[in-house]
Amino acid sequence: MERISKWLGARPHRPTVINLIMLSALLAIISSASLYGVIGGGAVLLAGSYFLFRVVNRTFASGDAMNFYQIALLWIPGVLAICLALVALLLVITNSAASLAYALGAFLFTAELAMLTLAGADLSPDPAPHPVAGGAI
Amino acid sequence: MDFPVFHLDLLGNRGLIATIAILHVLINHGLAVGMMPLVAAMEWYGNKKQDPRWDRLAYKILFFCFLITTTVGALTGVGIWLSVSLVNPYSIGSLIRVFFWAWFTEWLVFITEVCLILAYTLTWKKWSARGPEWKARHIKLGFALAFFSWVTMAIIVAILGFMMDPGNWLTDHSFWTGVLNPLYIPQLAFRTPLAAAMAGIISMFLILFFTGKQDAFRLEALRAVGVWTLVFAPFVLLAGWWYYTSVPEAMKDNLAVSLATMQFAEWQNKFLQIAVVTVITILLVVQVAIARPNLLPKVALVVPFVAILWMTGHFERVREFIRKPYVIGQYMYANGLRVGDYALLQRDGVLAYATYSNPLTPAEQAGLPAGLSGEQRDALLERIQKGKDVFMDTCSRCHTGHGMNSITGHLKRMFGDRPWTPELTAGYIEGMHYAQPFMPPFPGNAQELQWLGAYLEHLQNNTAPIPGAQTAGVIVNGDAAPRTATTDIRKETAAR
Ligand code: HEC
Repeated sequence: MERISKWLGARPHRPTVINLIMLSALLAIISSASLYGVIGGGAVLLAGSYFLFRVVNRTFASGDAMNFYQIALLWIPGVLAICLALVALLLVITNSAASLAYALGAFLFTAELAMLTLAGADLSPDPAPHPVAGGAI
Repeated sequence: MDFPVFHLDLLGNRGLIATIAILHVLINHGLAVGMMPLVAAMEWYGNKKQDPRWDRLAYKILFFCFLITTTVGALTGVGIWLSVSLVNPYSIGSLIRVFFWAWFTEWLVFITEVCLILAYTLTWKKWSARGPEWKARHIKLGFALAFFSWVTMAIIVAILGFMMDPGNWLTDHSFWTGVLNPLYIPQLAFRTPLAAAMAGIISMFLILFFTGKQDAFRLEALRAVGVWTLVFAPFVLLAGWWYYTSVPEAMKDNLAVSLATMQFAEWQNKFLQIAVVTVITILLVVQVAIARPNLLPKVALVVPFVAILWMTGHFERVREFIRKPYVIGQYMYANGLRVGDYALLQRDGVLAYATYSNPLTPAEQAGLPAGLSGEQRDALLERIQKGKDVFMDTCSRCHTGHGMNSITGHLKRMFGDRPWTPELTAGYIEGMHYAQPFMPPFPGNAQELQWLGAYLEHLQNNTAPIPGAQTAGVIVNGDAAPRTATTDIRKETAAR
């Protein structure tokens, strides 16, 4: 137990990710399309705005110090996560709860919400001890 | 019917072609067309950054591709045309007449490609050691190789598109209308990014083998190749959509029956679903490769690769399906008979124009009804022999006797265990192109329909595999041949 709480405490984004996973698991179990859409969409909006805010900041702050490739590396994880989370949301909302598409969608949504949170956390001004990307989860 | 009939009764002739073709497409797209520009780009990038690790990695990947493309790749490439010309020499004959110069160019381009990959691989170390000028030259060699790899694909795709839908060629018969058939550009647009994305996935997999776990370069390489793959993934989807929407237009003319249209729509939908799943798995892997490259396990890369395999297989099958019942859209049926010749064949019978007969082997003669007199037996065997020839000439390109897509399997499903008498089967076969629109109309005359019926009835009691000309040999039809029933017609035809 102690080890777990230590692991969670080591990076502030870890508890957030765990919470989000639980949230989307809950949403998947409730299996109400509109609820999933509103709350899931809200979560994407929240995590997505945070990421976008950070990444825009970072891109402008660095000025000419970064080349196009480095900027792309900053943007890709979050932007991909937003796109895939929206695709997942679409899958979940348009398919009935018992279908394979729904299950895949719910899984993809959870993974992408977690990835989006990570992408935002990687760019936070109080950087984790690891380098921007490539660190432990 | 000017060639002896090559036949595989277990795998089926189409099974043979499909196996070779799919293997070749995977190697050609993944390891040549998509991979050569990636390898050249790696070499260029390493040179620009003066980072020898990129150079070493690029060389290792190239060497792997070199081994496979020059062996299995080249063999299956030639193997496709060899197997197709064995199975359906008539379609290859027509295609060669239309695309002679395309194939001639293809041959030159292919030889150039082989020389270039030899030169590119074998001069890598030497030229790199000779200084920057030679290195730059070597990089150019790489991009030239990439270009020629793409051109070989671009030429062949024109022929593949033509087979699906010749478009205006059907009326004006010119080379360029044949090349610029309606499905050419969409299909090329789809295959190009698919090849690049495939190469990205495969090289990420190879990077995990060629770099150490603790190697910081592994992460850098995974990220860069991830970006490469990501650039092409959306185009796979976009061009896939373009292709998907161009096909029904081409299909309309091939199949008018609503049943087939419905089935076709199902296939198409499935293709779209598989394409979406494939692109999503590719994107997932790319995402992890860029955000957390150290967490990317080897198995994770197997998933998009299998998805691509699945998509490619389905894509090639739909491509096949779209052409049915033709091998060259609206020009030649898959049984190798030209649409324009049908009226003549249905009047005179196909056997009148068959150069060869496919003799029944002793094993194939077993299972005759008991209690026949010698004379009755001979008469029956003669009818069965003619029926077999009709079968070989008109059905065997698509059906086996007892293997894949077997005729006996279909008849058993339709008629069960009651005797498959000619009365029972002939009625169906006469209208088979309505019942199953992937099948061409029966090309023979009424008499031949009865013979075919007698043969099918015999197959109910005889499960010996049907041998092709490659094992059983042929009898040349002529006055010396055991069957002379068609000679009168032939004389009459000759007189005309
Ligand atoms: C262009 C290739 C092609 C040719 C030539 C062809 N068939 Fe078929 N045939 C098919 C396909 C494809 C099917 C459907 C297979 C399936 O649905 O699994 C089929 C199905 C059948 C069936 C089952 C039909 C049903 O309703 O389920 C019979 C019987 C049959 N073929 C007989 C013949 C006979 C006899 C000939 C020769 C005169 C022939 N076929 C020529 C491709 C062909």
